[in-house]
Amino acid sequence: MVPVLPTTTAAAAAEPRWRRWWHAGLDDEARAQAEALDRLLASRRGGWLWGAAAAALLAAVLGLRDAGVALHWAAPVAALFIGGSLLAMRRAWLQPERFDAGMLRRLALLMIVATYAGALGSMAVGPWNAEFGSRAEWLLAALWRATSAQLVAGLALLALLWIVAASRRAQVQRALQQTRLEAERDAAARLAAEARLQLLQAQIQPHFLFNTLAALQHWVDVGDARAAPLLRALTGFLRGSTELIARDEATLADELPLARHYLDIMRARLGEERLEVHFDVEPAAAAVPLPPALLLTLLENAVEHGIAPALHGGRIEVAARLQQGRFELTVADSGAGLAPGWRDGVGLGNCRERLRHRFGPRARIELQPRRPGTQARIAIEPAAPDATPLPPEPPHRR
Amino acid sequence: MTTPPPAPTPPPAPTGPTALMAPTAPSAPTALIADDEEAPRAQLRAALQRRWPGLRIVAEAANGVDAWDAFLEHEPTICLLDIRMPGLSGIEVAQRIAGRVPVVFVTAHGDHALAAFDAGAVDYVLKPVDDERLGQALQRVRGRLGAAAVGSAGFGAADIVAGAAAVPAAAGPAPAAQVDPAALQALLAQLAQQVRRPAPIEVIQAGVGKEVRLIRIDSVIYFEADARYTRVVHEDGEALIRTPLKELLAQLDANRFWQVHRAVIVNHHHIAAAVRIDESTMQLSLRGRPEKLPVSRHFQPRFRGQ
Repeated sequence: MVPVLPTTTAAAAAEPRWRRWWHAGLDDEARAQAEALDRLLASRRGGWLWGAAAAALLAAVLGLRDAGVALHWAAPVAALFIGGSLLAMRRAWLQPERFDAGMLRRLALLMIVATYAGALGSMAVGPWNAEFGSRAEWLLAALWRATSAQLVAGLALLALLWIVAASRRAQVQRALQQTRLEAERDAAARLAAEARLQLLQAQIQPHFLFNTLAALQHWVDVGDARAAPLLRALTGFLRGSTELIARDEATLADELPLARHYLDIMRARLGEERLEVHFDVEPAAAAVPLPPALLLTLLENAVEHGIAPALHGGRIEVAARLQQGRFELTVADSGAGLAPGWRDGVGLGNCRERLRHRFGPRARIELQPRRPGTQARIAIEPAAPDATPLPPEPPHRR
Repeated sequence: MTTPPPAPTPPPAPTGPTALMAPTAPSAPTALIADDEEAPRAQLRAALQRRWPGLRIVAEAANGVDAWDAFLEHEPTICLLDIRMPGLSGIEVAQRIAGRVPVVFVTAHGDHALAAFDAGAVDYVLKPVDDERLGQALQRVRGRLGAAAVGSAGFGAADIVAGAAAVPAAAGPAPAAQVDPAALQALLAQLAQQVRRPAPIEVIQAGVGKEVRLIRIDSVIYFEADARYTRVVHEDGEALIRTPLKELLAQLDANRFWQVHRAVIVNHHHIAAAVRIDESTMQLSLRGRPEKLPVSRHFQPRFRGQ
């Protein structure tokens, strides 16, 4: 046990209680602000504030004296008024959200009631003042004095409170906005990283890779002539997709060779009669910068969920056009069709998110049933004239 | 409709998947292999020939529909099935086989079903097929077949329950040889739920002369394979469609339409009674119709008195 002096214990016990009152009703953030304010008041710069408060107090006492109030009344009234005002202003600084119009109205009402009550009270205790002819005359004078004091001091105080609260509110709002912006930026960065990871996982999907390797291995074992082109397509696909994923954006022109490699692999595996492909991509549409691997994801979905589960295979049609600034990419398959109750898979959800971050509400992905099969469509509406247009094509990194 | 009601004889078998060899002595073990890709199928065939030279591959199927049809046609000793196949998945085919013969799944790494298989006592081999691993799986299958032969009921027997009783009774060489068919069915049912299936068809479109008749699926009484066509017998008559019965099977609601024979699928609302003729023969009679439909051995356990 460490012996502790009783006076220290009392001070230590008293301080938290004092602090509890001083910080009552403040949340963590406001409490931090309050402590910063306390530190300011204790610092040298805080001296100026104390000086200003003392000057205000002095001015109030002198003003009341000038209005004919005796000093022994003027001093406590002024101290109460200035002290209360300062406390109110501290609260307005710390909790500006509580000083809304309703709160100010209530304060104004309280002040009116308090001033007139003070005037009536001073009348009750001041019968010795004989310079007034009658009690009614004296009452009128007291009310008149109270009204002017209220108009000047009260309105000034209310205005000050409102200014403090409003500017603090704006400041808090700005900080909040800033935090929100930062959070959004962080989310975008995280999403981009996640998208990259998922793309990487998608292209090196073990199922895809091992099935392709199984075919390759067999054809190498038996000396089948299909081995060499399959290996070439797989190499091209893996190299190309690794490069594509490293980018922030890519055009369809960048992505098309990769898409062809992928389709060559799948045609070799499934058999050419099970998968037919047709491309119809306008040159203008092929130059629009997009988040990378959109086409690849749609193609993979069309093969995995459309063609591969279809008993007799099918055909995939890829079309892209750019008309009056409106970009549209469709990947249609004649395969198995959407299962009832289908939901976005990882790939499609990822595409949706990346498009939303890049183009906002201008971009959409829709899946529609065809007979037979499914059509996936990405549409990007032209930007409004005053907004930024589709960004220019980025410099090629290859 | 002018066509008279069909004769009660079992219809001719539709053309099934490639039968590689003519059937020989019933004792020789036979296999069905199914994979929708040609290369892994050929690789599996070669590996099987190296690892189990006595095993005859009686059928190769390129989709689940053909695999199931070939199973009914050839009744092989074991089945090696890919999981992702068009028509019916390997899981769904195994569900229909219902533990009557050992099934080995052949699948690529990364398949969602693998985790479940690791937990359950199911044989699987990863693609590209490794001879060593395939040999182990075949060893277990042989152990299980041996155990079934020692017991009173073989895997070819029609009753799952009998098979279940026989297997744990025999001391198999490997622990995985003891497969509880009920647990296996539960596992397969759980996996089958993950298969994305198109909604069952609602309407059958049948060309009759120049017109196309729309037949509500509710009004169909039964489907019957008829050479290269499928005969649709419904409440208002009958029609021929080109879709083979085995493909139609994958598009029908399995709770309403029961397959009772390799060549017959019947709407069970119209079944009046199942009549056992002798040890191996069973027939269905229908409500308000004179014809009898055959129930082949594989499907007879479905009709048991409660």
